Amino acid sequence: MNELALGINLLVVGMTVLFLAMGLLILVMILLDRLFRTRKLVPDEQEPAETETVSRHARDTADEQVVAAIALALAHLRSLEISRSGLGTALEDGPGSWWSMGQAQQRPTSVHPPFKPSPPSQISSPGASDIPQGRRK
Amino acid sequence: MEADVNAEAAASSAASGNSLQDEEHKQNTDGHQDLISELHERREKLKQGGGPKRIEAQHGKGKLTARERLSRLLDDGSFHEIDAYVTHRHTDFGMDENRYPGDSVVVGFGKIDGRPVCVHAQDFTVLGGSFSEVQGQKVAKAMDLALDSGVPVIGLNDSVGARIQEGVYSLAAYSELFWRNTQASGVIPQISVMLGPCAGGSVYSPGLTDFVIMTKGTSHMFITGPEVIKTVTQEEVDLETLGGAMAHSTVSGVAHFAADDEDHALDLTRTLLSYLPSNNAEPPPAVEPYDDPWRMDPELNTLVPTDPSQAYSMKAVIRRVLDQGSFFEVHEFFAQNAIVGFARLHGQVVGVVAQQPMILAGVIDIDAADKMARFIRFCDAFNIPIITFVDSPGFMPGLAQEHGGIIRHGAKIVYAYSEATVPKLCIVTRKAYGGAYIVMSSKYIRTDLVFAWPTAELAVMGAEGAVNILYRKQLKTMEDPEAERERLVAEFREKFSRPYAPAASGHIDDILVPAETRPRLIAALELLRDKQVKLPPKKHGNMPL
Repeated sequence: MNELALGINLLVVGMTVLFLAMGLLILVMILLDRLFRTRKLVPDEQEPAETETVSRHARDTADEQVVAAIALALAHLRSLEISRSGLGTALEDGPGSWWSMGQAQQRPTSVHPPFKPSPPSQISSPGASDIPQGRRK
Repeated sequence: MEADVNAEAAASSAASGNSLQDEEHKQNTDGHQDLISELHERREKLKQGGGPKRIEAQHGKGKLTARERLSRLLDDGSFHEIDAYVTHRHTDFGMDENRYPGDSVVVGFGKIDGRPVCVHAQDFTVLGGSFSEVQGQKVAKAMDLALDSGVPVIGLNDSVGARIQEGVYSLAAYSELFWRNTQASGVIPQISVMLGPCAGGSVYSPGLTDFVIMTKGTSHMFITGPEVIKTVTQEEVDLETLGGAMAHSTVSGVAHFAADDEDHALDLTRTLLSYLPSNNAEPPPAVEPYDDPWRMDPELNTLVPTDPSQAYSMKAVIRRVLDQGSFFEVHEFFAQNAIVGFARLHGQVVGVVAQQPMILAGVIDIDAADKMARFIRFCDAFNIPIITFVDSPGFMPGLAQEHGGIIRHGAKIVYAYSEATVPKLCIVTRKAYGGAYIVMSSKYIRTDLVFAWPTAELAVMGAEGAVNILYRKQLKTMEDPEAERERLVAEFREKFSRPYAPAASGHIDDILVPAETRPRLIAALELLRDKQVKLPPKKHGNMPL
């Protein structure tokens, strides 16, 4: 019996603590909401003047037109970017296999003979005595 | 006790053995050190060339030594010399007492902008850089290495000419060089930088290379000098007028570039090389595209005057169409009525051929024909697409031109375009009259795509000339021949001075708004990127040289 009473007591205390904590949390949320409430960008005083000059209907229509124009411009730009994006990409990739194959068929062959050293040392030029001394100027 | 004695003996023996080994090691190390020191000494001596006095004299003339030039031309620390110890083997005329390691040329290989090149530089401090047998062999070795490796070869020339003391051996070495120049032509780019005198037969080696760069004031090229000319023809001429940089880059066309000084010449070499592939099996070096492929310059739409008698600068057209700042003109001062040069289009190298309406109305004369034909052939040999801008009223009339062989020279342009298998694109900006229309990359000499601007006029001749010929007899009989002539000219213009009739018959592929030329050329180049054309098998053609 005592165990049952103890259980009931614990339940009541637990529930009380829980609801108290929840209440506190709600209070903090209300407080924070009041402290950091979003302020209106346009002062309230100006609104009546605006409504006097421009009817709500006319303003909404003008806004819609601006939004529509911006949307159209963005869509056009996007389509233009898509259509332009490909230009020059093949050039950036470099030559393809078709070019390489063509080049391979036209490969030059080695045309020069191996390097040969000069004749044996101490050459005496034939007829050298006929050549005047000094270098060409 | 006995054991102790044995241990001592063993220790003593080991110690003496160790000291022996140490001694041998020391001797060996010293020996190597001596060998390496000797090598260092020899290397130092090599750097002296013909000696400090001659180096000083070279600097006194405002010129650099061969090694200084190479160090400025090549990337830092990339030069590797070969054949540095070669000496000549001749004894006549006291040559046995005039031996210098490396003789009168420095050869080797290095890198320019990270790309390998082979180089040879004549050393004026050694026997005036005279062309000896071993100089020929050294240069030939460098050229063979370049040809085997498929890399460009650059020669820095500064020499008094053939070494007379070596007689025919020197001449034979020249022949070896000329032969190699010819074999390498069209396989690897060859560039000659003239930084001093180059006279007599030696001029043919630079003459055989693809590009010649000369420095103003210090370099001269001629077959026969002023004294010989005076003796033979009685003409008096100074060195600069005869074979200076400006003479060869404006009158003869031998030089493609005239540099202000040696540094400028070496800078031009590096820039030129940035447009050239290393060999004929490679595509030219591309760079990361930096200009908007869709850039459409509205200035182009109004750049060409509607009045055909008014001039405009074709260079302004070229600069606006191609990648900004990429146009590198070749032969800038020679035959200025034609324009040739390298440029980039979306980062890719292209060759540009054009007329310049500002000079002689863009007419084609003998020099212009030679200039364009040679450039077209170079581009074709090295896989560089050709873009042609046409505005020419035709070939230059006159006795001098006809007797000078304008038929033969003009035919070179047709030959070069017809033979070229690289992508060929053409834009007719205004006049394409008669022979000029045909030879300047027209559709039927196998230009891939021919475009025209709305100002284009494709006709056999100008409207006035055509009316005068076609209606000469009728106009004489008219009451008011001037009014009738004007009417006929207007009628002729309407038919032939607009591009729609040739477009209707497929002579041109499309008519462009001038501003859209750039993206259209890029798109065309993309299509033709891998273009392959096979020529009929032959040994070689017979170009009208």
